[in-house]
Amino acid sequence: MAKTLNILLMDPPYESSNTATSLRLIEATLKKGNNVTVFAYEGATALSFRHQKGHPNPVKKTSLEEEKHPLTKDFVSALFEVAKKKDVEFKWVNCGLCVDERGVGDWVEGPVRGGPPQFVEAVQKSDKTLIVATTR
Amino acid sequence: MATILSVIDTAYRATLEEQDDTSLWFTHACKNSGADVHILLTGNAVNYAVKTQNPKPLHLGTSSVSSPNKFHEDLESFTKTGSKVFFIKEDLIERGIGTDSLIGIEGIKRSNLASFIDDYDHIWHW
Repeated sequence: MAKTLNILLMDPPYESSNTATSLRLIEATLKKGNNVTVFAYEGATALSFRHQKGHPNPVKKTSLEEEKHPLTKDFVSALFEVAKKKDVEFKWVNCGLCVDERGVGDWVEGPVRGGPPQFVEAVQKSDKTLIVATTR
Repeated sequence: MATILSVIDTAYRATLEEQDDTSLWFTHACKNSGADVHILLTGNAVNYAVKTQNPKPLHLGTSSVSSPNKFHEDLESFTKTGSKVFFIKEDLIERGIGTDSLIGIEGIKRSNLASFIDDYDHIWHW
């Protein structure tokens, strides 16, 4: 029987390995046929921001095309694809107040706006809740 | 209903620009949304319970933060909801803070932490 992981992310893109580790954990959970609810809090609300752009790498002298700079919005979209293929439930809730503070309200397809009430509801429905907080 | 212990360990994380501690604020908001949640202050966050805090406003050119947060007041407000706030006694002693300088909250010994945590269904570590 499928279980449900509820996970709160807090770090902004490109600042901490917490993000990559958490996204890998989410992918693995989905691939095993389980449901996942993500609550993106504070800087993590920028993970799904639609207007992220890649860039060339002047140190390595690679072009934009050669660099293929990873974008977290693509990671988020890919996780929705994984969930769709596995036919499991995947929710991504962006903290609305945090989004407004940062002006990152235009997201890729999938995430929705929410707040603590939605998080509490997810806690009650989940088998486990994991807080991945910024620790600096 | 699941019982939750919100362990606040990282202190003063962007608290001037936010005018709040984001983990403390979030925990209180979850309480207001119906969660059975309590707080454990550990590490530098034990200082949040010191009742003589008086942070000064921040001024940067013409911009300012005129209402810096007073965390002991936030904690007192949180306890008025019926939830409890705890702290690790050793973390207070290591920082030279006397219990008489704190708001009325309960200390627990570090050696009792495992059994203390075992009473909760969820642990949120901030």
